[in-house]
Amino acid sequence: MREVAIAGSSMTSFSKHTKSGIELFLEASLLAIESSGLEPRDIDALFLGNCLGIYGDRQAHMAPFVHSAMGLKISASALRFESACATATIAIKNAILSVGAGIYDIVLAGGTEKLTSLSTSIATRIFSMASHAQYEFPTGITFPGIFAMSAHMYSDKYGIKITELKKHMAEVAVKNHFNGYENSKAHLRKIISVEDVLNSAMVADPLQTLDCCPFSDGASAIVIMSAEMASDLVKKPIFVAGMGQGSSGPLCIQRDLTRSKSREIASKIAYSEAGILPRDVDVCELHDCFTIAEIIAVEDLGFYDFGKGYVSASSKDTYINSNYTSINPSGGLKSKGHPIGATGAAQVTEIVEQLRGESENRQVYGAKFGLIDTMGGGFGTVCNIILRS
Amino acid sequence: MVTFEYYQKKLSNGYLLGIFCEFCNIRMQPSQAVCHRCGNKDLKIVELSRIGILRTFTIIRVASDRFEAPFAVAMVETNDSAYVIGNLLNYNLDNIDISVIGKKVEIDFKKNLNFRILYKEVFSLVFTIIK
Repeated sequence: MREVAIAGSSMTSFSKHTKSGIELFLEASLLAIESSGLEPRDIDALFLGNCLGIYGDRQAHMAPFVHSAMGLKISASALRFESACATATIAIKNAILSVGAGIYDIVLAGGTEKLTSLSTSIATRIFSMASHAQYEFPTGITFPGIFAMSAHMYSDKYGIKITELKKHMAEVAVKNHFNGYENSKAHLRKIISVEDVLNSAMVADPLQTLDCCPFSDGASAIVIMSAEMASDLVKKPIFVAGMGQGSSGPLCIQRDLTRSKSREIASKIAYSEAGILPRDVDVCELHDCFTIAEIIAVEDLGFYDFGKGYVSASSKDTYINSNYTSINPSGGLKSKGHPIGATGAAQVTEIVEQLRGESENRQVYGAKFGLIDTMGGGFGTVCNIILRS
Repeated sequence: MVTFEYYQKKLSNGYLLGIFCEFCNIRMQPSQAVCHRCGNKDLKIVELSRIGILRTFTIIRVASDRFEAPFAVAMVETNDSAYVIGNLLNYNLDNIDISVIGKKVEIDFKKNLNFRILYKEVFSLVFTIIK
């Protein structure tokens, strides 16, 4: 496989938007293409992530409409990817593989989602469709509910009182809001306290409103090409060092909701391909859809031993420029927001900017290796990408 | 492989079905065509124990459209090693706490009124803590 690099990236702000999913993606992708020193006609393929456009936009078959609106050449392949919350990362991973294999020279990949047009109860129902339709969905389980069951299991398994664990979980939200406050693209730019989290309304015991990421609209796009071409086109290409993907099935087949086998395998493959260890990662954007999800992820990714990651934020270890890996400098899904199909591409955009030293007040100094971690469903899909400057 | 239609038919008659991998010595639900642990394609259809241990739970306070909150969802490990998901019944949701984890439960089924789009009638599992 030839070496692959990212030449350009961009994202819209994450918030409530009046633009459609297609319009949001155009906004992000035209900037990404321009920043790569290219024109839309140079793109060989569009790998578009979109999860729930059929509900949020009432739009199926989004890729060719994006293709047309941005004036791609007719021969450029337009494909839509869907892997629940990992949608965009899977699109990007496959774009990297295609360029690496020499199938395409330049691929535009990323994702878009427009969902705030739906009510909370409808959006909750539609998200729940990513659980097992026959065995799980009829119980009324929701995604906060799945991670709530993870939190209870974690408390029981490691003998940490739930009241104690909840304070550590709240510290994850506090950290990510602290980071997101400095991010002009973030949906919830608000400093919060542990008390704010613990006083917010209960969503699914023990998860409260401020343990949960918001529903957001937004898009993000990445321009992927051979490392050789990127080095000619832009000053600071960011290189793909390693990737991994893992899959898991229904919750009752997985059984232990305190760890994700799919992530353990995915990250192991990615670290091995990159030739690095978890401690070599300077900055990481990981899937903090709920506070407990960040705690589980820092363990699965090898930053902490199992059962020890709950102190990662409360100890200040994972704040920007601590002595450990900086986790979610963008504010994560928690503060930056979570437009499902765009999330992974926004994580990549954050890591690209961090490795280029362009993150201003959120800059992780001297960042050389960055890890992206995106999870779809209840640990169903996990995709990890390691980038280097 | 137990199809959902067959699983439902048997459940409505009081039989809780799962699959059994004799190489892994483990029972599972939902039905899988091949054992994800060892690759065994010869999985046996078995009846699962109706007694188990509650492994985790939550109380849904913000529900999906057409579901009425609050209600409790739980995962239970049956006495013969399968994990199953369902609703915890007969419990005061204001007093429920983590001490329910590890409690012995009886597994039953009920007609589920929240999932009538694809199927005329769906039965799902319900758990009651045994005092």
